[in-house]
Amino acid sequence: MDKKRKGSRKNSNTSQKEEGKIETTTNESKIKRKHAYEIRLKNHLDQHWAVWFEGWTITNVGNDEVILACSSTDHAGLHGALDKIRDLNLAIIYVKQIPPKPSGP
Amino acid sequence: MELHLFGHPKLELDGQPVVLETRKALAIFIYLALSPQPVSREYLAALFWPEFSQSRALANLRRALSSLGNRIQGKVLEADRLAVFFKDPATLYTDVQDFRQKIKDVQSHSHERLETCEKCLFTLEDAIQAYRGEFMEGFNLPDCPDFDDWQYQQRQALQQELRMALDSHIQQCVARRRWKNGILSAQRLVAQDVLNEASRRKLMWLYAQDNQRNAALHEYEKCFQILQKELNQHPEPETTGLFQNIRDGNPIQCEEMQELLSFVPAVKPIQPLPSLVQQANPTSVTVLRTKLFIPSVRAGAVNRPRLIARINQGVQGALTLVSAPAGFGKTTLLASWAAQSASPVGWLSLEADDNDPVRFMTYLVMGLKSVWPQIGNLSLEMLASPQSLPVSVVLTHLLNEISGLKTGIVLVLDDYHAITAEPVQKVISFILDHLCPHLHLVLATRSDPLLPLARLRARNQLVELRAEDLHFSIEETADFLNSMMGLNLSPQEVTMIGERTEGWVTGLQMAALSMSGRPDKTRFIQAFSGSHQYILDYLLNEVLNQQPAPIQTFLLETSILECLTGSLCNALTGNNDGQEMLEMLERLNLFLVPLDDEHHWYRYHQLFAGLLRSRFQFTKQDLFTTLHERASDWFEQNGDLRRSIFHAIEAKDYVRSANMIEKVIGEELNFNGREIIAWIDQIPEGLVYERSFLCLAKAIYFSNRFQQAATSQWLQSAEEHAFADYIPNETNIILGIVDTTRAVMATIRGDLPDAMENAFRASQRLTDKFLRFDALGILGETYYLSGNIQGAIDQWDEVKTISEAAKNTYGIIEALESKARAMLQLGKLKEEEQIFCMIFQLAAEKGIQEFHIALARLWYSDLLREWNELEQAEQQVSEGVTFFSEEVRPDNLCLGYIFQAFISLAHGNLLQANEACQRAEKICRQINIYPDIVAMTYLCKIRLGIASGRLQDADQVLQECLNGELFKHDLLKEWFLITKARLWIAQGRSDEVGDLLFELAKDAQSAGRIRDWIEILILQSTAFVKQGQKRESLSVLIHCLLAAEMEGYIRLFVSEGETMRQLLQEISSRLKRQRLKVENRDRLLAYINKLEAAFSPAPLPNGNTVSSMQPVLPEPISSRELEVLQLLCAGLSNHEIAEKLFITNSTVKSHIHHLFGKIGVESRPQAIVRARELNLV
Repeated sequence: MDKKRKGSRKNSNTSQKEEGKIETTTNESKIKRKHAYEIRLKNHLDQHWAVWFEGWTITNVGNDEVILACSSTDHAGLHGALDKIRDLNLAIIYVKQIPPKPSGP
Repeated sequence: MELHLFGHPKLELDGQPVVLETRKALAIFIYLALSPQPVSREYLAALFWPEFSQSRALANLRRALSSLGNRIQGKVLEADRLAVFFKDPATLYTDVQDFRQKIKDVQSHSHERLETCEKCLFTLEDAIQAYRGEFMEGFNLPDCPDFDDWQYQQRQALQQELRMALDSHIQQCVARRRWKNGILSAQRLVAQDVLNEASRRKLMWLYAQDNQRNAALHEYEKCFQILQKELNQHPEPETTGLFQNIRDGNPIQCEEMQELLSFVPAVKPIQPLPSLVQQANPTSVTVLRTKLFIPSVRAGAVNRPRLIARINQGVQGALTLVSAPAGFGKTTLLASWAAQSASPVGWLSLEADDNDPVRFMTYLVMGLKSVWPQIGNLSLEMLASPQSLPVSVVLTHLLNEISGLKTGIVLVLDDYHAITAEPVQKVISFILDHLCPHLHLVLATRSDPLLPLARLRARNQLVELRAEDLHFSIEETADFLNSMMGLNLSPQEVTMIGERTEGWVTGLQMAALSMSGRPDKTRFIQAFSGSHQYILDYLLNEVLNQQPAPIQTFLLETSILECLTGSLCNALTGNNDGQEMLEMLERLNLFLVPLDDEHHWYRYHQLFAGLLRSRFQFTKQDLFTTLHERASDWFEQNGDLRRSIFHAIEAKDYVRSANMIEKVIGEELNFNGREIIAWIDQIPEGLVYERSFLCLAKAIYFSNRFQQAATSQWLQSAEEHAFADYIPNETNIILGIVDTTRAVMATIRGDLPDAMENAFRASQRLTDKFLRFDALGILGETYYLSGNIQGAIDQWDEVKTISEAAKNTYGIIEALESKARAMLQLGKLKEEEQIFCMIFQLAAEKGIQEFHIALARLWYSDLLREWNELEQAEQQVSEGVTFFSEEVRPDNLCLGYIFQAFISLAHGNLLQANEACQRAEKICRQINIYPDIVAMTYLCKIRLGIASGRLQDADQVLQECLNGELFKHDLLKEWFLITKARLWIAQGRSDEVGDLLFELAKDAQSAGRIRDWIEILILQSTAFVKQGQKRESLSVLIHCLLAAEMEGYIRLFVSEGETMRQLLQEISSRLKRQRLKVENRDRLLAYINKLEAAFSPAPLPNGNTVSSMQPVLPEPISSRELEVLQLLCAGLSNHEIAEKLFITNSTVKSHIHHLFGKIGVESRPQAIVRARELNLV
């Protein structure tokens, strides 16, 4: 019965001072800032993986390699993609951040 | 060659003792002898020469090894460039390993009842005899702290094993009625731990069985004396009861011994029940039994003895880590290891949802319970309790319970990479830090976990299996393809496949599946080897193409499911062959894993499911959505709303998801679940705004994090929509909760009128027991803070009545706790104590656990302090405070610190008092807690400032508080004004406080706040005497004493110091000379006598006697340092201190170094003198 109680004074167990906002704001900290990224992997990947790597384009290059590219994502997005790569046991050759084009806003 | 390690270490070659050049060489030899694996040179060098540079340490090691080699003629030891190991372990006998082997033999010797096997009894006796002394007794290397630690751990582990051996020996002797043999073992057991009463009882009972009545009685006496001496405690009632029965010649009933007789260790885990979902009573977490199911091993699985041996070795230590990418066969390996394991194995398959620490812990306990059903009940109850406890409390309890078991347990955590949340990772770190000899963890993960691996490696508590260990060698590949799969490939073909798959098990298996039944294997292999495609894509195509169309469709369509069962598959595919299909897939070895013994539920191999899903979603997006909708329907109809919501969200059917989330909330009226917030976060915000229940859940989520702005926004939209979609009853509930939450937020903000208005409205609106409970609770709180104590009591009484009607014991305790606080304000200390007694009694009757009454203990400690029962007070507060942390109930933790500070102040230990107060203040600064506790913190700080003569600092704090918004509540204002008067008196401004105190006294008395009123009268009396108005002073004081006598106040008077003592003396002498006429003269005199006795010989300094104030250290001493200092003063050596505190020698040294700096001394004798001066010991 007791577990039904909602969090009142006696129940609250976490408390932080910062006031949060409901809307996610575009905070300009380094982690939250979005960047373009490129991940190069071994082997060719079929296009159907585009659904799996949502937001990333798949380009097979050369004999035996593939480039996953994303024009804008934050660190969390990058790590999500890396986790998916890990889960497929794909071999990573490199991950790099692409500097923004000078003309862009 | 023989190495004897029980007792003083001895090395013998062919019966002749071998003397090694240095003790270090012997230590190295011993260390290597007990290490299961080669030890690297670097590690050895760092272990034995920690203070040298690596190159010098390595050189020393070389020298030591070569000397070792000379002495033992290179017979056993072998060293290469990297590591050192034993050439042939069989040539070396060590008594420790012999001992362990014997115990293992007994444990692994399976019989129905342990006590029937005579052979085991002898082996056991041999083992016990082999243990001739403590491990490496009298041997230590003073300059190698890590080796010291290792030695200590080994010794502990061996002692533990000995105790287990003795226990089972006693048990077997009892079964055979061989009392004398049992007595011998029981005596050793007692000697191992003289304070363990259970062992004492065993011995007494055995003596009695052997008709040695006097010996039994004598044993009780010894037990009594040692407990008295060491712990200042009496024996437990069971012990005393046993003693009385033996003494009086009554029949002896000893449940423990009966239990001992009936105890049969479970060698194999009890398999979980087949039902998919079971409520783990009494937790709120729904436990999926399938997560605890140990995957069965397929008949065709490759046998990998080399790896299984490594794991067997690993589970001797704390942690075995199997870290390799997806599809390397981690789960299969562990499942086949579990099938042969001698120790019982618990299993837990993790997923992303398990990142909630409470959920994780619940599963962890359930995993352990699947092996030992009797343990973990209390832990589950703790986890289910509405007051969230620090996980460390639950864990400590659990680990203690496991330590008490007769044998060890291995817990496998599969898919540990799913765990990303720090609190959950901390759980595992905690377990590993508290090396529990009975609990071994095995983690299977795709990424290395964030755990102190280096430390475990250094302590030799870690065995790792990585991708390079798991990958199939060419021989294994050949074995797999030809023997298991019967493919008959040539060595070249095997090599080609091996190279293309790089020994990756999943790749190999898929390749084998693609080839089976193909006539042209060679062509396949060539095409496969030449392909640049992602290997699994290529192979999946091949595998699917091998299957008939219906199977292909079935695989793709059901790939969206996390778990599969026949009727669910039917619902998805629209066919009727779900169960047959699943069985067929299982037969075809198509990556289907059964989740129970009945083969009712299955899941796909994760990697395989991912492949199918990705392909399916890409080609048939529409159908993908439809299938998720069907799955959602099926789960809803089958009563699993949670999975239904998952599929609805996947199907992007948000309206349906929102409906179901509302249904979940509405059914349980629980807005507080983590999963509820996680669901809501996946729903478009626009939709959330339209649903009052969802808005409320968000609001409560933010209110628990004390985020005012966000809370109030969500409350507002909840309210708007409740009005918009008016449903009489529901709207009322929503509005009531909105009001309650607003009242809580306003209270924290310090806006009392707003809080009171909202709380009152909520109490009018809500009729439901639970919701009303909260509303009345917070209404009482607002009355309390506004100084209307009686009003608060009325509300809390009603809370109690409601809780009693609902049979909600926790609710009753909470209401009583609040009421006790009110009684304190009313000055009714005796009633307050009665309430605490009721709480403790209730808790005992209903079996309510300690942590629910921890807050009551804190408040009780303050009452005891007032009555000057300082030792008891200290005990209560330190017991209570352990249940709180900065994460869990920081407000209560803060309160505990305040009470500790006041107790230390009463002891005259300002240093400790200041430290405790600083800790409380730190919490107040970091976290928004309730205003009364914040106020108490600052009041404490001011009191300490006055007591140590730092009046200016005290003044500054007071000014800040008086100007602060938070302290406008009437009750808190009164507290601050009283303190202001106190400070002014200390500043010598006694003539200015008259009016202030007069007003305060009037208000407090008329509102019945008697505790405050007494304090005000005391201050009035002090102020009068300082102004030379002794007659007025005495008259006020007598008035005050008459009121205080009834309730037995002591510290309120005593803490006023010398002035008060003189006043009391004066009154007492006047009373004695009959110069004062009062009723109850004798009682008053007795009371004053009691008060006078409570003054310490050296009176506490108050504001006016600055000269006698205590020196305050520039830098506070940490509690650990204080412990070290106290032990140092007790005359213990560094080594003894280290043993006592369970830390290393070098840590002790560094503590002492810091301490000397802080108290400004250079030697131990100086430190002792200085510590006494500072009142630290």
